[in-house]
Amino acid sequence: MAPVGWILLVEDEPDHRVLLREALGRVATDVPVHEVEDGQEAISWMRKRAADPEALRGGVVILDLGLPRVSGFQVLEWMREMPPLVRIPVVVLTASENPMDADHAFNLGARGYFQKPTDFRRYLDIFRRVFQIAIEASPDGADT
Amino acid sequence: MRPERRNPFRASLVVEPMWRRLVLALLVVAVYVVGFVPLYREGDTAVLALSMFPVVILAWLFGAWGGLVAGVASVPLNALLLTMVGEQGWDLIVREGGAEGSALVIVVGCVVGLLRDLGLRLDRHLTDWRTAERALRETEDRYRVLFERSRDPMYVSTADGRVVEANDALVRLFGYSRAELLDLEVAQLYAEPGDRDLFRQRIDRDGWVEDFPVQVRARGGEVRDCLITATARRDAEGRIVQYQGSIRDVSQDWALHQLAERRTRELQAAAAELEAFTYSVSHDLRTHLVTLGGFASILGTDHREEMGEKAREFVDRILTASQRMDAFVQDILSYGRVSRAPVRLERVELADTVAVVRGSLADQIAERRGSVEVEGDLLPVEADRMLIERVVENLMANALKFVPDDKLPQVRIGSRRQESHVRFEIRDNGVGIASEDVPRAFRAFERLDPGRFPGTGVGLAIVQKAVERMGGEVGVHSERGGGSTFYVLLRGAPS
Repeated sequence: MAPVGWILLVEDEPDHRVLLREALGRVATDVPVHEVEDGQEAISWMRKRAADPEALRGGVVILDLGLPRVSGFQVLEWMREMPPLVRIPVVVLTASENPMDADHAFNLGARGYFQKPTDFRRYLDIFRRVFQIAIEASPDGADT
Repeated sequence: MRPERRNPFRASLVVEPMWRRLVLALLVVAVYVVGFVPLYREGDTAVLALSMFPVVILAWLFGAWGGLVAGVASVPLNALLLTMVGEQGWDLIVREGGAEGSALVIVVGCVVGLLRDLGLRLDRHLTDWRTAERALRETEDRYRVLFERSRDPMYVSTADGRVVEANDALVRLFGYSRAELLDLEVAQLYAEPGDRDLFRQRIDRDGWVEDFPVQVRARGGEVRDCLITATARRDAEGRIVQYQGSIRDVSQDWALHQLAERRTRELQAAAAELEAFTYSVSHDLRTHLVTLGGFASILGTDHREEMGEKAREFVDRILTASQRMDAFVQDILSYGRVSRAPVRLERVELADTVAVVRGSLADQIAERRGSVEVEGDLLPVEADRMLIERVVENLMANALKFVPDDKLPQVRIGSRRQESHVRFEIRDNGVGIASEDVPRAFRAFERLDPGRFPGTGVGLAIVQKAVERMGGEVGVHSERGGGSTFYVLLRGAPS
């Protein structure tokens, strides 16, 4: 299945990037995954593509919150101000769950909020949910 | 105690007991009767003097009435005595100038008696007055010492603003000498002229003030916060003539208060810092646990077949440990959140909370084949939505967990009104808690049965913290082997 066009993985912890890549590889082998290490890189990556709305179609951002330089919340805030990016679904994946962080993230436009599990198998469930969210968010999601 | 005999009048016979005076009176009369015959021959003057003698003595002993009675009685007695010596007694007294003499005796008796009575009365007044004066002086001395030795500054001032009396404490407070204090205008002592106007207004209206706050200025210009308690003294026409009162220097109290406040702020900041530290440490711990558990679970599933039996066992041990560690870190994080999150009390339907928790514990309920039964309608409470969910979730999870394996967990949930509060109860059929262990149950990291049931020992500490933050109360009724009933007492919301 190729439910989503692309995935932007924003994660500063190298070990977690390996884990997430491993998990994504099992759920969606054919989706291009772009990895960046902090909020600033994430913003640069999206800014470069903002001019071409087609290039950003059908993608999803998987965002860690505690990032160096520019935090996950700041990325959400920035995206909310950028008209071409407002519709891109963002899902937060964080090490320690906190209801207040979750509320804040949802208020800033996040579509999902998950805590990183210690059991690898749980990632597969989480990413299935993430793709479902991405499909629901895309304008032509209903036909897919 | 007999009165002091400082007054010579009191030393005379008049204050002798009655019986002594009566004996004395008899003796005097006897002397008179015996002496009458020899003196009679000496002539009328001698008789008059002799008649006068007992009357005066009796008047002195018994007062005006005594003098009158003795004077009157002396007339027939003289007549009798004259008759006895062979005279025409009665005729002699009535006709031959004896009448004037008798009248004189009676009058002198009365006058002496009256003088004696007056003297006695005067003496009594004098004594009373002296006693009163001494008592007054003692009282005055007592209050003077109180005034002088008081550690609170005290003063008496005139209505036109002069200090007329000042104690040592007042002298110390202002730093002026006593002479200087008595010389200056009261207005100079106020740091804020407005204070004095308001003080005068209040005391002139009410006649007194209590703990009236003012700022005074000492000689060196130093300003101190004080409280004045004072009374106005009025003259007979009701005009205020003086003020008298005491001053409390609260600058020191204020400094202590400031110090206590600063220390409290520092402590609060330290506690907050410690909580923030715990929180960030727990967060970082979890970051590494995600890595550890993640890779171990890949090894344990995907690469299971490639490993030898021992390697498989070790990987499983790593996995179990990381899961246990994770539960622990999660609980510490949860405890931190419950301690730090702002509390917003609102009307919460316990029925909704129980439904939500039931959903999140569905797996555990199914796994243990447990039953959760709600008795009657649950009453609404004033609570924080997030906190009450944590409370119910932890209590319900415990109710399912602490049940022996051979028993199916039965959880009963109910509520009832208790005055303005609602008592929410969760009852289980588990192993129960021995009464001596109850206090330990709510302490963080305490586990009563570590070998038998898994857990971190933080659950009930979270419950207690959450309930405490909502202003409620939590407790348990339990018996070893007899199940437990946990209750939460929260302010009820109107139904």
